Amino acid sequence: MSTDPALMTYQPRFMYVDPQFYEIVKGDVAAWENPGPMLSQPAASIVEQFLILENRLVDTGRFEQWLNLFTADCLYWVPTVPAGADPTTQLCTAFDDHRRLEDRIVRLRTGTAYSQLPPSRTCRTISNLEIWQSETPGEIRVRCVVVIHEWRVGEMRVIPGWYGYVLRPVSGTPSELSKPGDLRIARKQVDLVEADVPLRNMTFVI
Amino acid sequence: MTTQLSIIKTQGSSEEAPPEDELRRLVRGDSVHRTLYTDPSIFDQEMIRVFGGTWTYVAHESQIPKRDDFVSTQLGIRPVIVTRDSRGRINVLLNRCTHRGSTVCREPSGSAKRFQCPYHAWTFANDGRLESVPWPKGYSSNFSYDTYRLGSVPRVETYRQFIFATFNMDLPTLAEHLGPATEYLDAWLDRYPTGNVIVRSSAQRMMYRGNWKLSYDNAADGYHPAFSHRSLLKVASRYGDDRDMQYFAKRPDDGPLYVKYLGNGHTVVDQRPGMREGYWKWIRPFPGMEAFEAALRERYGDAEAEHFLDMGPGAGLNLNIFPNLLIIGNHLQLIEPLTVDSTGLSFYGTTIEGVPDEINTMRMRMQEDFPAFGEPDDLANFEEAQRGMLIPEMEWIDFSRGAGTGAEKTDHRGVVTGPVTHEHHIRGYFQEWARLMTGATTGWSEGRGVSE
Repeated sequence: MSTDPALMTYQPRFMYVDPQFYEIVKGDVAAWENPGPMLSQPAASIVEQFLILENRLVDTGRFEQWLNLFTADCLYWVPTVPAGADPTTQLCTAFDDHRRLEDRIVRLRTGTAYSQLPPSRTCRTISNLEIWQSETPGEIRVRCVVVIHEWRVGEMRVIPGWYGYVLRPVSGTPSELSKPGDLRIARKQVDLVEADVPLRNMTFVI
Repeated sequence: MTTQLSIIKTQGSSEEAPPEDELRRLVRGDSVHRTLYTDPSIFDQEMIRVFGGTWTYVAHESQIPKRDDFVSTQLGIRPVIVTRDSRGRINVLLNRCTHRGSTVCREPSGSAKRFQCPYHAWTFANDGRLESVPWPKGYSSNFSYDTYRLGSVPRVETYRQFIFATFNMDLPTLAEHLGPATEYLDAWLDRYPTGNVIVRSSAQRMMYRGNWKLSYDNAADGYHPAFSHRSLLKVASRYGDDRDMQYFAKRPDDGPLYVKYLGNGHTVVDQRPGMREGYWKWIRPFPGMEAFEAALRERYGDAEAEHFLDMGPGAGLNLNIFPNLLIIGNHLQLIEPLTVDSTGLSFYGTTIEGVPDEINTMRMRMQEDFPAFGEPDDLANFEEAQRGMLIPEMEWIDFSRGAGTGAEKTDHRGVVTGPVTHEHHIRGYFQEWARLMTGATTGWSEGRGVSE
């Protein structure tokens, strides 16, 4: 697939990563350790269906559709410290706003991203879902375990970790969810078991 | 042709070093034999004669700012502890109990007056002195605590807070050894208000299945960006055609960039002549760029804000201190050899003092750019090079580009300057490699450390 022409036309509209945004992200680190009131059914099942869809889109290389699941003010964060640390002072494997996520997809579509030629084949399993109403009204938090199996150039790798999601309904409240398409990802945190150890080619993570 | 250096023995054995002509046959002027990248016995020798056989970077002083601070690292494949002892002196201790060989420190960093071996509780001060052993009456009356100090690397020197160590007693001082490389390190540091950087962020750590020298070959390689980094350059073209690194894309030898061999294995690519009007205007967009810039302009006014903003991006230098320290952009990149065909690469972020906090936060986000969009493609090419080098019938790795063209100039110090895509930097460092592998004596005797 070639690069989406829309992505090649850069519009400077990504002003949202500011000190206040960093404060919100720092708050996430503690929030993942303290689940709030669990979301009830059927909303919880809809959230789970949404996450299954999201992970399937990545595994099948539908990155443009995957990106459409994110809010315009999203964050995709892969810390280099287990469970995350202060990103204002720490390097991250990824601390991507929407623009940098677009950059990643543009790169993967160039046909010359040699670290993904041939592309990784991946299969990710999510489980141990905890789905709760965020302390921020209207938002949902999900913490779940992920195991990614990756095959590339004759070798299988296993990449375990956990995901933390902050999800927002497109409209209405979390309890009014009626279908997976009602949700968007505001923040996705990928906490690898091997966050702080030397990792081979991680360009398949998204 | 013989492709194994079977006669090389490990240091400390009774055998002599390999004859110079044996290695010389594998290192030609414009190519080297593939076994330099694939033969475990050569790797074993490099881990003695190159890593620790020459001045080798181990840590930055800002990682151990206070007395009793320490950081664990490697000197080649030796686990070492870099300590600032209770008197303030920097030591590079071999992380190996003098009793039965166990590591005594298993924490990546911290503060400790002493290290107690978890195995039998032998306890060492942070300058290496053995302080106590449990139930000492079990040893003979001749037992000497001084004999059982932790091993330590006998020579430790710093240059502007960069800590280097070597076992080689014959080398000149660190500053002399760095030689012309100091001019570039000075330039890299003198941009900043205090003339120093702080290395305290967690590192971004990568690994590839390839020999460590693939990283060093590439670190000053101005030939590859237009091709290896096509995907990065395409991403950059979203933002116009004048961003960082675009000057590598089209006929770079016609431009003002150059690469130098600086002697003693050190190399540099100077990208600064390709950059216009300061650093900030060249940077590719990164998360937080607009909001932080706006906040600084509002707080400080345009002139002072731009002064600070120019301290955010990297300095436009790839300065490579042989064999393991690559100063690229804002990073300290460490080459960590693991085996003959696997290597760790740790990207240490740097912050600076005397600037608004926003600048340092922006430096983190800028420093995540190349590791995401450039380095993975390099590592993929390194791994594929390692695979290709396994073909026994194809013996030579070529770096002849530029040789015989007359385009390279050598000055009175022996510094060789040439067009940015030329490979004289690789030809140069392999001469140093061969010198270390054939002739260097380390002055280190197998045994129990060096007393003061």
